[in-house]
Amino acid sequence: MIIQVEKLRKVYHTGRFAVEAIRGVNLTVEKGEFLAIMGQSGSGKSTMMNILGCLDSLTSGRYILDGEDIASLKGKKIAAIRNRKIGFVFQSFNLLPKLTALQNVELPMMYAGLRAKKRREAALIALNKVGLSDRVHHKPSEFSGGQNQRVAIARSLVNSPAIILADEPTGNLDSRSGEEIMAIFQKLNDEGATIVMVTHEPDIAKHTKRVATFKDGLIVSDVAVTGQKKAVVN
Amino acid sequence: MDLFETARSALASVFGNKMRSILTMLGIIIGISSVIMITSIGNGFQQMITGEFESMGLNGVEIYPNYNETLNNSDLLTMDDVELIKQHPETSFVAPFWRATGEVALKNPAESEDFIAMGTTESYRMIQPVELSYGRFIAETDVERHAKVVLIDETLAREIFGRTEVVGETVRCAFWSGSVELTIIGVVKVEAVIAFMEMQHVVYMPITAVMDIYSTDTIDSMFVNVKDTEKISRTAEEYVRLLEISHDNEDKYRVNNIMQQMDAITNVFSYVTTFISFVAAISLLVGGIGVMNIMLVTVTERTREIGIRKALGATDGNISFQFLVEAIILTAVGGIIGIIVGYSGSVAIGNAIEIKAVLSIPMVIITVLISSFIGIIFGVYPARKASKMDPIDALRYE
Ligand SMILES: Nc1ncnc2c1ncn2[C@@H]1O[C@H](COP(=O)(O)OP(=O)(O)OP(=O)(O)O)[C@@H](O)[C@H]1O
Ligand SMILES: [Mg+2]
Repeated sequence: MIIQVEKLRKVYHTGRFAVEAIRGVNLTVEKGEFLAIMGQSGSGKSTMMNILGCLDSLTSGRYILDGEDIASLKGKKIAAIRNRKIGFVFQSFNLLPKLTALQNVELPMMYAGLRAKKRREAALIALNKVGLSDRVHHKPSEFSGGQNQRVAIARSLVNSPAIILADEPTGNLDSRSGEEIMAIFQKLNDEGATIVMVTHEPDIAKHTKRVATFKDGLIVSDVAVTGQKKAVVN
Repeated sequence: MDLFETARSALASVFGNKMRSILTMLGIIIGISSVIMITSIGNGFQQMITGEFESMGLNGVEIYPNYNETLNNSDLLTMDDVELIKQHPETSFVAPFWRATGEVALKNPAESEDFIAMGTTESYRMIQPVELSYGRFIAETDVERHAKVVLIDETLAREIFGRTEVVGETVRCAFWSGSVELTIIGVVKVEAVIAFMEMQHVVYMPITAVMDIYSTDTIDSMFVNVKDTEKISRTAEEYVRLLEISHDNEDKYRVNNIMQQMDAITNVFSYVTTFISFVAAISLLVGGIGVMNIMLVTVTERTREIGIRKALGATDGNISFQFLVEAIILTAVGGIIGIIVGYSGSVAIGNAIEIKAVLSIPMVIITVLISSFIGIIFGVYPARKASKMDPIDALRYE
């Protein structure tokens, strides 16, 4: 079991109001799963992902990631979890604009303390996986959105994380680029990667193996995808 | 996370925003460059004075009797004492003096001019350069033969003869003890400045000749040039001791250490240096605050970057280290620019005032350390602020 979440709650306090974004969610994700999280805007999907990615704290409940109880961790330990166990892919790519694709992909390995030569090797392999081996010295401004998202995916997988979390990775992309991204995710999943991704588009969700639907901070349905759609790249 | 990678990206960030970095560094640059400028010129000044004193042969002491009621005739210095001091192993040369005032009739017989007769030996020229227009300076043989010869200056020559090339002519000079006919052996060049100031004329004579005129065998004082200036105080004491034994007296001689006077001059300059360094320190402080200010702006601007780095697994330590290195590089580069600017400035000023600027290496090291230290002091707070950012808040920052 990669993810085990029990009675997870998240309350935001803004001014005089308290917003309960997650209201007691239970979720488990096994190794090798490819889970899509769907739901209306404001239903708590991003909140859930941020907590799963250890970017945000939870208000109450339990979260066990790859055998580690996250709620009790802080500081250096939580940084190490983000570094080694999680690969996060954002809707807005979140690449460092002044660094090249190669340098961006090397970053997580830098924080992992790998030597320059090893970093370079691993980054090149990862960039090759996403089909960008011929453009490793380009900067984000020289790439299309789809290409940037591929760099971000390469970056998410270099430290061989326990899970790849992607919050609307195709949200900023046209359908063709979206299809390319899904093809990469499917390939990674076929190779054994565990992936959780948020999407608004049912078409995208069809490429996954399981869909959980959020509504008002709760999971209202959680079903396996019958007849997973293969991404076609032409 | 390695230092090299951090330093490289910090450099990229500092150089990526040149104008802002330069403005930020300005306080540091001004502070460091003024320190370097002042100390370089100060060092040059000091070396120049030392060099001048040494080249003038003034690395020595003047010995003279302590003139007061208790002084007896037997205590006065003589040429024998000069010989005695010459024997001392630390002595490189001795110049004895006998100063007298005299008077000479001018071309117009109704007029006359006063002068100071400097009775000395050929060694005098090693203390003070005497530039000649014509003729020669006093020679050893003049002193031995008590030669009635004299060197007068150009102005005096013109007043007496109406011309300057007067070697071989004779002049009649009146002294307190009587008048005497002297043969001119040389004419001393007069610098325009001195001529303008209308200083009293100095004529040079063999000391023995002056002593003859006054029928005395004593001298006023002697200047002793020593070999090792480091040991000068001890050597001077030994000289006094030798004289005391020879004259069988005590506490009758005084020593004027000319090097000490030079120290006094350079000391004044070092006070000035200290004061200006203090002012520069304030400018460094202001520069440091400027660095802190801009680092805080940088941290805010790069909130999103901080969020991304944290999401990828950067620890608080990684983040604060990154910004600290950036602040240090900013101030250290400012310090280096300050050194270059300061040294160039001191060379330029030095050329203008004819002092050779001397860059002091310890000062360079100290200033680089100080500016880096400022980077640490004023970089810590912004770096800490960056490291304490919450990753999700930082990622949401627009
Ligand atoms: N930082 C915050 N402070 C206060 N309330 C917040 C914060 N972040 C999210 N919320 C609230 O929590 C709820 C869930 O937000 P969340 O971003 O998780 O929705 P979402 O499902 O990702 O929506 P979308 O599909 O638009 O991205 C919303 O009501 C939102 O207003
Ligand atoms: Mg969202």
